[in-house]
Amino acid sequence: MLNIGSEKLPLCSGPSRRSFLTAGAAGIASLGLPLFEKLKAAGSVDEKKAKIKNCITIFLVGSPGQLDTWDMKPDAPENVRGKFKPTKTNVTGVQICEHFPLMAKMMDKVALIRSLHHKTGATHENGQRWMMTGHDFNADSVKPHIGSVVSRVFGPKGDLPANVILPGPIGNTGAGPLHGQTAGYLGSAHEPFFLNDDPAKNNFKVTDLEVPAGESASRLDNRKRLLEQVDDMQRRTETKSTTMHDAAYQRAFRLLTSTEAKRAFNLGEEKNTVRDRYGRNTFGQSCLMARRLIESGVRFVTVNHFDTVFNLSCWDMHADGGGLNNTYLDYERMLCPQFDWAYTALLQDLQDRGMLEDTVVAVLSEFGRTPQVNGRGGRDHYPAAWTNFLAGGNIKGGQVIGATDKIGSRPIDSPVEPPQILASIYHAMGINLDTTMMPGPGDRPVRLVEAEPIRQLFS
Amino acid sequence: MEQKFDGTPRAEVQLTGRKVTRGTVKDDWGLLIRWLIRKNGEEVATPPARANDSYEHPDTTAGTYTIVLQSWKYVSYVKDAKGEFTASQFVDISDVVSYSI
Repeated sequence: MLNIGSEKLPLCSGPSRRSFLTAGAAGIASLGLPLFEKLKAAGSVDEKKAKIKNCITIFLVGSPGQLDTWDMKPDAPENVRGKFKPTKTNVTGVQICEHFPLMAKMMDKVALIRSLHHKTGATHENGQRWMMTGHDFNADSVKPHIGSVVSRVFGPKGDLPANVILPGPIGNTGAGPLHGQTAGYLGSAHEPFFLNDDPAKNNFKVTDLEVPAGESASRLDNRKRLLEQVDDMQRRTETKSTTMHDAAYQRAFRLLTSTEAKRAFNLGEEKNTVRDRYGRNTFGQSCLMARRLIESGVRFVTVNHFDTVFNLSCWDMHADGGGLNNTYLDYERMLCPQFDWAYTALLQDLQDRGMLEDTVVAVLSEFGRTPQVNGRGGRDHYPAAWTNFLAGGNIKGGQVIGATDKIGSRPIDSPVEPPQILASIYHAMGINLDTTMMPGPGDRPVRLVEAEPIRQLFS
Repeated sequence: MEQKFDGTPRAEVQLTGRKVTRGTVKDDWGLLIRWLIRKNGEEVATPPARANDSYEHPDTTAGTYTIVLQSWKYVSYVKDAKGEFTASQFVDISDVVSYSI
């Protein structure tokens, strides 16, 4: 049987993962359609019964220090414990930083994972690749973003793309362009849709959804038909790449002409009180847009909290006196409050709308920060230990998984590696990793991620 | 992408005895908000105001106390040699209320 969400689907070739490996992927690849769409079209699956979940990932570019946020060590020496104090939460025995007072009241919904670590390098990009794809990789073997994988497996619902990244892609974080936010070998049809604009701006509009000035809708339609004729000629000589191009092109046209898409991206439809509750800033309004997009049918939304680490207040707390001069003051006055306000708004809003049980909310980052405060009062990159967390879907909140030693320098209980987080997200979205494959390089069927979900996360 | 902070935050505050209470912040930037308490013109406390919308200053010694709600206003990350922000700063987002003991 092949599982899509919680549905067991018959496979023509037999019941095992092995048999799917033998027979399933060729069919998927040859048609160039999302597996889910194929099965749905064939009447094999009912999406409502499958209970397929959505996911919003908040990516904290720059990476907060674990000792200053969600894995505090108040009994450690001063140059380790830092300047902040822990506060109690609504879960007995679980404490977090005093500068997340609203999150502290919602800890019963959140599962903290305090034992994350990786070993491939201490650049931001190493961590971004791990947490966005479940792999570290180089330019010769670019792996797909988790949202692109979801897009490939399930396809879009309606006119909206399956995978959206807000407000824009990660740019310069110091060590090259491989951030793990592309579709990789899955091709252009599954590339994330980037908003590429700031939803907090007064005059915000999605550029890609605007018909160019002087261009009428009917003229656009005529152009589409002409282009289809050209493409039809091209299709006679090309196969797979044309199919990919077609899918991307059709997606772009659907977006350009869709009333549904325009509405989904229109924050002006929200009450001012709701917009205020998320925070009138780039991050807060991106979180609000993420909720709107999920509500409208997007399956996977990533919110990048910052697109760079240079020359702005961000989590990358080196206190270097130059372009990376973030300190405790940035955490206290801007970063922690901004995150606390928007994150709790998102969880509460999803719950109030009955969407939280169908939406996994993952807060991820690249690595932790050094246990010892550096000589300038900051902390530097530290991939040997950090904390991320999940909520929503079938995640069991109010728990802590894993632990670090007395100074937050290494996991001493239930160590977790990045692929396990992705496996857990897939699992929480209702994807059975043993039976759901995708076509890899050369159309070879591959597992979505080579790890098992963290079972303790699920009730 | 430059970080945008839309609008100008504003909140109503009410004083009942020594207890000050704020309403919802309109056009909230979502950053740190705090009470600024001055006694006889000198800053004496800056308790956070996000999680609770009321605050009662514990000092009951004689003097004139003023209270105003403030929000952090982010302009840039730049700091001086002492580590203080040079452009970003706290700004008042309410009227000032006062009482005397």
